[in-house]
Amino acid sequence: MRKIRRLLSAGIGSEREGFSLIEILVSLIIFSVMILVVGGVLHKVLVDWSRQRDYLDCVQNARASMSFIVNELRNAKSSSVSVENSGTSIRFLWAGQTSSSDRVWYWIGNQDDDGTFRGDKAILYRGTGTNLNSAYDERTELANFVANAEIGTDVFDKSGDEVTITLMFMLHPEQYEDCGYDCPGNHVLILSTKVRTRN
Amino acid sequence: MMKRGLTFIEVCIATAVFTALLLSMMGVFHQGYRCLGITRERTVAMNLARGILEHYSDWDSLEDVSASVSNGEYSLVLPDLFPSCVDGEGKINNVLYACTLTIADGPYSPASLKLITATVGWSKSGKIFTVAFSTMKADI
Repeated sequence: MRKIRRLLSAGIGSEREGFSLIEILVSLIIFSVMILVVGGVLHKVLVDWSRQRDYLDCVQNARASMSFIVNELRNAKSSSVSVENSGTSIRFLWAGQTSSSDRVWYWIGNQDDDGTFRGDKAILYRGTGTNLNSAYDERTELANFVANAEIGTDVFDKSGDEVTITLMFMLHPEQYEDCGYDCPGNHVLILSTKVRTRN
Repeated sequence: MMKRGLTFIEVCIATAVFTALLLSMMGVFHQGYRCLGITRERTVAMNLARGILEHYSDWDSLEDVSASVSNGEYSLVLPDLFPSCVDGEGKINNVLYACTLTIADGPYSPASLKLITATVGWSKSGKIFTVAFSTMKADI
């Protein structure tokens, strides 16, 4: 009871001092500065976290697609392997297959959008068919973020029965022209390997 | 009634605790970046090592390294093997990879069965990392 009375008497007309305007202003400024600093740090952490997660996706994407191509190409019939379209596509038959309609194709698109001839130039496709047009109709997307077209590097190169595969990835391939290999937060990831056909 | 506020020391300690918490949180992110970098470099190295083994899975290619395919450790020139992905300084993704091919005797018929090992090494923050793949190759 005494406590409640004391609390009530601490209202208007009591001798207890509140905060002065200056004190409130100073504390508000300090609080705002702290919020801005912490907010800035948190924002940077979130942006970097998001970029890091995207980049990790990109690395996983790169590794999985490279392994997929290598495993399939290793079983190809050596005489059927052919690199086409200035190193942007490759076709082959598996051992025992003879029909051209069974050809397996890997290629990167040649357009900016997916509604045209060979698809998006930032995507690596796989399909089967006599030619690239028919393969395009049955395409599956194997990897995105592919930057070979922007950088101007061949994906496939064949020498004898050995195929060299070079995949270049960027989170934003369209930025390559402006800032090259070392775009801040958008570095080029290059993967390269070789495979020999076994049949 | 005189009510005491917080002393300067108390505020300093609170700020220090808060800063320590924030820094430890940053440490987690830094560790994440580091792991991501190592994962990326390991992925590149594994692909290079696999490519080197594929390249030297042909006996004729081994003879290019050593005419009589004799045992030893041979340094490989990365730009010769992977010209399209190595920059002017011999780096891939700004990392310098050193590649070696080791030829050793196989368990049987050592003249015609060899154990070949492709090793790709790189250094980061003073630490050396390596990836090595091995296979047998017969002269048939």
